[in-house]
Amino acid sequence: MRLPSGFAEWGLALGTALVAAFALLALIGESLMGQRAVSNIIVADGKTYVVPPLLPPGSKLEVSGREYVFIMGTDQLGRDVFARVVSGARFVLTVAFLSTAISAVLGTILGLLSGYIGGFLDRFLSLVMDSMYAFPGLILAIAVAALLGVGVLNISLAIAIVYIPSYFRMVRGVVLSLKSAPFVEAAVVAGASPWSIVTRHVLPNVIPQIITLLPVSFADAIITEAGLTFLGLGIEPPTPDWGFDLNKGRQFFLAGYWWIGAFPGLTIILSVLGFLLVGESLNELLNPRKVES
Amino acid sequence: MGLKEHVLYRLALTPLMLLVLLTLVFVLMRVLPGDPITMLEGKNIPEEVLARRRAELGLDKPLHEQYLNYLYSVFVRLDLGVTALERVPVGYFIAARLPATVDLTIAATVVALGIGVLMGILSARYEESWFPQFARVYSSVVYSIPVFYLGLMLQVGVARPYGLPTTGRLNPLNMVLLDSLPVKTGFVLLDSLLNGRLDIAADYITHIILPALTLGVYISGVFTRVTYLSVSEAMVQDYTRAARARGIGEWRVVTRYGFRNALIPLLTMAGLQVAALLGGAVLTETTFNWEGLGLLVYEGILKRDYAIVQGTVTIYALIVAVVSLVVDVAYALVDPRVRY
Repeated sequence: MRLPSGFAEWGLALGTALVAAFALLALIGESLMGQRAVSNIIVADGKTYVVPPLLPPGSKLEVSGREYVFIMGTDQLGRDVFARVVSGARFVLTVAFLSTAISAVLGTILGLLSGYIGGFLDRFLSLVMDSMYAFPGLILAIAVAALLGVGVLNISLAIAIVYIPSYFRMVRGVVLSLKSAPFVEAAVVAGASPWSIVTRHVLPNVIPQIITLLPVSFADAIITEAGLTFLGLGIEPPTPDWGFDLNKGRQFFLAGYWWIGAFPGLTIILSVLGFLLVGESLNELLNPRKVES
Repeated sequence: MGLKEHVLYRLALTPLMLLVLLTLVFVLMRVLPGDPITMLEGKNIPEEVLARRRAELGLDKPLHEQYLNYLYSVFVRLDLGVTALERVPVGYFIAARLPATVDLTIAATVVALGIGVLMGILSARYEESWFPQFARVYSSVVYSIPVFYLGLMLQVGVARPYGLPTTGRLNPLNMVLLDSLPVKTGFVLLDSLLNGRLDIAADYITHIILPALTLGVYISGVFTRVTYLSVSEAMVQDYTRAARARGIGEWRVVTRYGFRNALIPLLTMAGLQVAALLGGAVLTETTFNWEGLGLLVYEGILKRDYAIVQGTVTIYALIVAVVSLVVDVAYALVDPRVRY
């Protein structure tokens, strides 16, 4: 799309700010708010106070002279919604990071092999990857997550499987176009081993393309993660997680306790939007003439 | 290759693709760690019960035999197994649920095309205004909103104030009435019309509006972009300039000459979006309690009924293979340039 000048720059700035904010939350959020995210008990002066459930946003509570503010209210179990939103960043971003890394690495390796070796292997891998690509990603992830069970690594694997074909197809395409490039042919003639051709001549040309795919892939991973945990897959309570909390808040939504689900949902949108903006703006700034659909 | 050869080639390729997809389902379900019986009964069931249940499901046989059995029962016997809890054929559940998902995805596609084409054409027509930027922000934001969140927002913000139903496919009374109708296809709208029950049809439509809107908005961003790109590409071509020079109004140029350029990309995109639609339908159906395949998957997960999950995923593989065949053939029919 043709855009007015500055649009991509603004998008990049806004996206980077959002991504940085969420990265910070993932790093320190849990240590700041972790306790209040999983428990409704405040300990002060050696005494314990039970936080009431379903407090509306902005509620204040005085516990032995100290004031606690619940800017996003409390959930059905009296846990601080703000603390859960903040602490949830760690689980979500860890899963997004792991799954993106797994799919990028596996997809790249398979794409390099398939493109460079060619022949039967290439046909076979392409058929498998194209079939996976055509299959509804979320349903594939659901099937894997349902079998692997709960845990950070398990849910990351379930998401990673969905996105391997994207990397595979891209890398394979680049390899095929590079295979007949003069500098690769020169390396072949000079007697370079296939391993060194792939790692020293082909791979460096693939990496920039992979990097432009990463932020959007990250955004996709967050959306998929939210979908899986919304269905109750891959996560064990009381771990704070946006998709899971949104599902739990669903039944309270129509009863008027909107804040339990609304804030985790907004957080999902902001985090996805952040990575999406970075990815799309980068793409536009780096390949100004390439019109993507 | 001529048109006929191309269609034949695609027809021949479909079973191959299906085989790959079914193999994928098999690998996921049988080779990955996680056992359907311990999933259902817990890890502490007695050894002999475990062995008996495994034998019942044929899980004690070697993997290659299980694989051939799976392919044989799907392809030849058209059998998807029985549910673990009720011991009812999974195919029975799927047949009952499939029409609801078909209705929902068609309605959502209509919504998505409506929004996408309208916004795309407006963007191309008023290229110099703020509208293209708005459309651009719209597509990014819509992409970032989880479907289920959008669904919840519509339930609270639209269903409540305007008195639309928030869940289900029909009012409870009509649900019972539907069962007693003489002519039955399984498709609620079709059945109510065939039996002359306009009231049930109207009830169904009020129920489908919000789920269709949710799922449709979710994929409408892609259609907006495709339409805008193709129409604005056509607007700088010689034939549109010639049309303008002949004194044809700008609106007519955009809709008649520009929009035609978007038809084939839109068709391609609609085919590609089927996967996204089916995935999004799982979340939409769960949010709106819409009794389709997606809700069946969710229930299968909740009940830990592995046969339901496997059977439904198998049906999804069939749908994907058939849809990609249909889109490919339609593509070749519509675009005379496509001959591989």
